[in-house]
Amino acid sequence: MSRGGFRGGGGGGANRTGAGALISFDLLRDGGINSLFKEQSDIFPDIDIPMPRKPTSTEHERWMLRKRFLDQIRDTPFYLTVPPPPKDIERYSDKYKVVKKKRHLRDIQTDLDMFPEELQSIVDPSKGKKKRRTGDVDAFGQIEALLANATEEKDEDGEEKQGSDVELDDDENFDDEEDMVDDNDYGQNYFDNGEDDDVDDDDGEADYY
Amino acid sequence: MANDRYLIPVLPEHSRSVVDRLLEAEERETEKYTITTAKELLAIKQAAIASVEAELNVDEMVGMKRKAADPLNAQTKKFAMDGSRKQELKEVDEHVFFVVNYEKYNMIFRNELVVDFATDRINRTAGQVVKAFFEHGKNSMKALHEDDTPSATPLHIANLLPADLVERGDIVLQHDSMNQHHKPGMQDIVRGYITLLQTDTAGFVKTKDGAGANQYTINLGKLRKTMKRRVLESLLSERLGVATCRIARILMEKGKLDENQVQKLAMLPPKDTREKLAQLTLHGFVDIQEVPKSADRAPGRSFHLWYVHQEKCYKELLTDVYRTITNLQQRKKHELSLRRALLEKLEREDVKANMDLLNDHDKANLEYMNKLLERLETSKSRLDLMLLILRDF
Repeated sequence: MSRGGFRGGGGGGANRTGAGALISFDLLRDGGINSLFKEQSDIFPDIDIPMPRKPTSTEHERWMLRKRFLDQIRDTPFYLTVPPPPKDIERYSDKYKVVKKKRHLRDIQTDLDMFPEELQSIVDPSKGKKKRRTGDVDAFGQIEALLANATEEKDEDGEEKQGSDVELDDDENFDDEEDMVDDNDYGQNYFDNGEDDDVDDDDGEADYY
Repeated sequence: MANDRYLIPVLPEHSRSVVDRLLEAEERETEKYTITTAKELLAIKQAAIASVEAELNVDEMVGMKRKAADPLNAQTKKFAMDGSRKQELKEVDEHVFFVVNYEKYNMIFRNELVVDFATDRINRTAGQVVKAFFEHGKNSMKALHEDDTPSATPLHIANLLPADLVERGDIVLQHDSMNQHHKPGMQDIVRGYITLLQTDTAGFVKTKDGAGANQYTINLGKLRKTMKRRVLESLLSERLGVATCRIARILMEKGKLDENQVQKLAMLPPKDTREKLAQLTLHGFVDIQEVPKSADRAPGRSFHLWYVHQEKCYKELLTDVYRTITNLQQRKKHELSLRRALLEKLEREDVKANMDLLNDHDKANLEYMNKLLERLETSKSRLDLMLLILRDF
């Protein structure tokens, strides 16, 4: 049963040079210790294929069904074959060797919904690609709306005060937004604009930072 | 066929990947909230998973419409969850695509294998009893990995068996002490067989608790293990010899054993046990566990225990079976390529119309080729059944 593995092992083993020509472990295991010293025998020796038990009647029927099924598959348009090369000379037997025309793959009616969106434009050029928008989350607008709701609820003062309050809030929000846009705290943690340093030099030494 | 779920309908949702569907469901849920907290994020994820699974597991007859008996209520896609399981035959909607339901067919093949196993091991009537169990539970089993069939009482089983069972007389039951010559009735025979199947170590049938009196089910969990082990043992004994198989069985049952213990239990001379253990190790069925005697793990001074790791064996077997099938397929291709001239002759139209145009030599070759192909293909299908036990059971 190791015939199939022989080919791979022989090819791979023969190509290696130098130390450590590795041999497939499976060959050793299946063929016994002496398998490497024997001559190379055929991969597919011409013996009658052995079989433990004869095929029973159910197995026979199943094989017949499977054979028909395989033939049917070969006739479907899904079984792609290379088109035959053009004939060089006309022969008499060409009369009998007619190749049945198969249906084209494109002729099959299908529901385009089943295909992924990216392929739909290839099969049917009229359907454009659906462009996905990135979810525009208007964060500032949301906060605006919430604050506007909050200030409208405290509706005891006059409208002008509300207007001014809202404006003030807007200004404050603007200032906060500028700092909050960057997520890194570089400004707070690292940036040292030198205001707090001593102006006097100590002994004129260089400053090590 | 669609009524019995041999074919299942295909929805467009099936061709979108699972991750895509999950993301879409999550987006839908997220739209309900404006700002999310961590807890809400978790809730969104779970709701998305639940909705995706609900879409997948919809157990309805999509794509079937009722025959136009009541035109008021007929719709093209109808959910059958509203208890309309009385077998109104529904017609198939022409615009829906269907696909073969492989799970159901795998279950049928698996049931056949179990029935064959019961027939081999006990007798034909036992096989029929097991078959009746499967018939009873046929409609409600959905997946291969279930452990039990739906439970059944002896009465159910008795109803499903052919009537000539009583005359066969192939089970010896305890005689009713009062009526000595009273022939056992159907019920008694069935009960006798069920008890027999229950006490068999292969674990065919077991009682199901909590479902009422006298409920039995087929014990698929234990059957799985038994059948896999049977395949392993038969392969071992065919390939490496009966004695080697004996050693492997001892190790499987006893756990980890030292070489001397193995030799005693297997009743073989020590040289032979050593050889066979080495052979088993070479094929990967047996491993060594080192138990050191002293603080340093010197191999000379530690116990070496042999053991069989069953899962690993099954994986090895699986690869072996795949390799064998590949070999058969390659051989088939080779044989077909050898006979290309003959095949081309067969493709000709005039030959297809009238087979007698071939001369006798060709006919003999054709017959031989068909015989060869049949042998190869039936070997492949037998190996496929083995794969069913090892991989898909």
